[in-house]
Amino acid sequence: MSKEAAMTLHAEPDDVARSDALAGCECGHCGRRYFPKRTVCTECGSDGAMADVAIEGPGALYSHAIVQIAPKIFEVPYAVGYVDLPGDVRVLGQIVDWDRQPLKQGMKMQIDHAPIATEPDGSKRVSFVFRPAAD
Amino acid sequence: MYGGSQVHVIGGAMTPFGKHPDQTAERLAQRAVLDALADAGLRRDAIEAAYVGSVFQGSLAGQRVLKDLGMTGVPIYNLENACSSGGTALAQACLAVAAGQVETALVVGMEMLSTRGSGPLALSTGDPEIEQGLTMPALYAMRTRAYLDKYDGSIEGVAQVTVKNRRHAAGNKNAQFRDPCTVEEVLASRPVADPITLLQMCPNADGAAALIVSSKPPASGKSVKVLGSVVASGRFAQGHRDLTVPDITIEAAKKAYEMAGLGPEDVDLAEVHDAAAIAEVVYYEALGFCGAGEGLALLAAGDTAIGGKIPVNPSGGLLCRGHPLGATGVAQAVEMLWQLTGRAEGHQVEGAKVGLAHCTGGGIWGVDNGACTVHLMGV
Ligand SMILES: [Zn+2]
Repeated sequence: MSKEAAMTLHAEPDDVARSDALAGCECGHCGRRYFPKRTVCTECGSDGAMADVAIEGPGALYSHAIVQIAPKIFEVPYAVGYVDLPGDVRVLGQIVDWDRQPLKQGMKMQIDHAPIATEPDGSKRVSFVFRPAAD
Repeated sequence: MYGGSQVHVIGGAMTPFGKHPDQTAERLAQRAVLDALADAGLRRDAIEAAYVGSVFQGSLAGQRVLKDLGMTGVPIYNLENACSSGGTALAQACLAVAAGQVETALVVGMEMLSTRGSGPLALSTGDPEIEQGLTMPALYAMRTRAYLDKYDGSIEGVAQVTVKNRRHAAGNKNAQFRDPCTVEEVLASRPVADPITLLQMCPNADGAAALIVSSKPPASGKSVKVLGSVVASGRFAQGHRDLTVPDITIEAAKKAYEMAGLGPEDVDLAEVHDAAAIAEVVYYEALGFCGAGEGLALLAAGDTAIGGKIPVNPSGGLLCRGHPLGATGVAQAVEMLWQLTGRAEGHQVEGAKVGLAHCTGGGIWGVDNGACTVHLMGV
């Protein structure tokens, strides 16, 4: 393992290659998956045994909130929610198209990417987001 | 408890909680320290160590408080553990007294939030959930929704927490919000993070509180015993987490009950961390005052009101007192001292012998909460 890798617990995220998946990692020792990527496995303690893996949707919405007061970089109102992705990976993200249909626990959510905030320098913060899956 | 010595809380005081922009955290804390010393009937030189909890007060907060009181030269420990900073300071002071390192120690909790601007407090930066737009009220909103989904409850039922605590706070001169309110008013207040409205969230506040803990009880009988004292920290998990099951509070409560040789049925009153209305309901269950899913029914039956089976937050709690982070845990313990010695003027729980104080908080990705403290006290 490189000296550089040993000095950080969290790997730098790669450029997202696919818009419908998250760039996560999987422990080569115990199989636990993580997002964001990391180098130390919190389950088995392995260090540097992670392999890149695409974490794909759809996941299931666990709970959500419609945020009406937020830091200025975010445009209110917007929805955030916890989505449980296959392989027991829970991720919090913004939900786009939240106002087109009522959001419900258990609803299928797909992964997408979209701007979620405007940085102080005026640039857009592009991130993964969740979108209710078409039935 | 642990160690060889029984720990007693022999004096306590707090400033009124509210917006005090003309004050400093140091001045608020100094007032609380002097009043706590007077309450204990002690001179300042009786203090052998000081434990000071705060979050945003910077390096050496305790030294800045105590130097102007001529109370330097003793070891001063500054503790930061988010919303549980004050409770953590109390736990460390209890440990030092129980172990016999010192006979008498001072505990201080302090925070000045009104000079930090309005709106929800900024959470720690660099957290992947914060970067996505998570706010503290949004987290409580998701907890509320998860609870209502799981147990088929109503938001009106949750709003009753604020209504009850406002009723309690009417008799607490140190509380910030003392006007009564209705369920309709709670739900019609400013939307923060649907389904959370402003009156379901605790207000920011400035304030300070101080306690004297000692292995030597005073002759006056105005003291209480510390029966259990626990700090717990959250466990990280990447996967599914039931937001209605606060594991850190459950763990801290279990350890505190074991330490005290008591169970939830022995508790006569509690001050719990109602940073949001839903939190109090979830903590009824986590602390064992009722079974899972029975929190709203316990509240609706009036069991957690003063005069009920297990009064919770007779002070009005964080929802009415306000939440000056580091001060809250110490203020809860001061409330316990007053309640258990019959001095909780205006919001007394009659005949209370055992009380529980619970703090938890600190939003951090992947754990239920950053830190939680539970203290059991009795007479
Ligand atoms: Zn592993």
